[in-house]
Amino acid sequence: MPDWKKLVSRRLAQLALDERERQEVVGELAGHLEEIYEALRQKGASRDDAIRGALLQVDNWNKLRQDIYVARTKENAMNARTSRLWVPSFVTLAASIITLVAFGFLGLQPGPLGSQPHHEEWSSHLVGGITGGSHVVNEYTVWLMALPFLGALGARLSRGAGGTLRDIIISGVFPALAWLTIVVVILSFAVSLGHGLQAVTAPVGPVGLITVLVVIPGVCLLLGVLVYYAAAKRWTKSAA
Amino acid sequence: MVGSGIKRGTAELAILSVLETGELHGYEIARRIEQETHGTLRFTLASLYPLLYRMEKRGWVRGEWQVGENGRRRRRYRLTPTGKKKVAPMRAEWSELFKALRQLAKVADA
Repeated sequence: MPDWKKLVSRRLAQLALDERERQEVVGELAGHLEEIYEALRQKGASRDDAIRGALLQVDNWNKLRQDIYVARTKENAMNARTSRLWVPSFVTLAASIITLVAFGFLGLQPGPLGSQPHHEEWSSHLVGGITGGSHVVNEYTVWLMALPFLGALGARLSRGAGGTLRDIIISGVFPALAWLTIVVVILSFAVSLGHGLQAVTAPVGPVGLITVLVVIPGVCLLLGVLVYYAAAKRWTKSAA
Repeated sequence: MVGSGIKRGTAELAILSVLETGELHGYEIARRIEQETHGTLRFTLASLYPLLYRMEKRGWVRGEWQVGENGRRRRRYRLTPTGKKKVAPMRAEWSELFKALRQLAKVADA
């Protein structure tokens, strides 16, 4: 019997995979050719005819080498998790930040992300915003009103890429999760530098800060996700 | 002429379908498909392995080296949970397509 491994190895010598992976491919393809050769021999083919018959499996080794290389390396450049979860999540986050900044450019005073360097000021603005006691109420409220649409956008992107319900929800509420991480990191950092939590988060306190930056935006985003998801399911059913 | 996307789609469904019955190595996959389609669908080595590797990369199938009864090492493929979930929707999609094509053929014949 011919040395199929040697033959395949020689023909796939230029296969640009690491050596272990290349040997794995060589071994697998050689095994396949060996099976064909033996099947042909069992059917009564001569040794030469069986070799020729097996080699007919590949009419262009260069193309096969290229196809294998692409399949094993490039196919999944953006894997399912990236397209279903990470891309929609970061698009939603970026959109939420852009929206907030855009409101600032439109003449609205930014709240949490904005240009006011003293946290006491923006905190009180936010508190005022929530309780309706300040002009900043408008910016914060407008931003909150935009969030359901952004949540729906994240959900749409994730669903469009085939995301599961979990992916869809995370993609939609990702800005709130990002805010939570940022708040926790900043608060931990501040505390580790010797500042008290209350001093850092005055006048709203840590719970108030998390409520303003994470919980309320999160609820708005989730609302958008759920409305979109329900509408999309209904639309799919009626289309079917 | 059938486009490469359609060819790849049918080929993927054929592979997923035969793997639904159990683990198989590459040669067995090709032979099983040929037998079950009475020779209508045939895979050469060159057409089968790039597709299998692509499906493995997507997480639809998983290959593992095993030593057979004859002492030979073969890489056997099985469906992953993701691959199993793919079969029914893919089959439904192709069934829809063939139904639509049959409808068109009827219209053309009429």
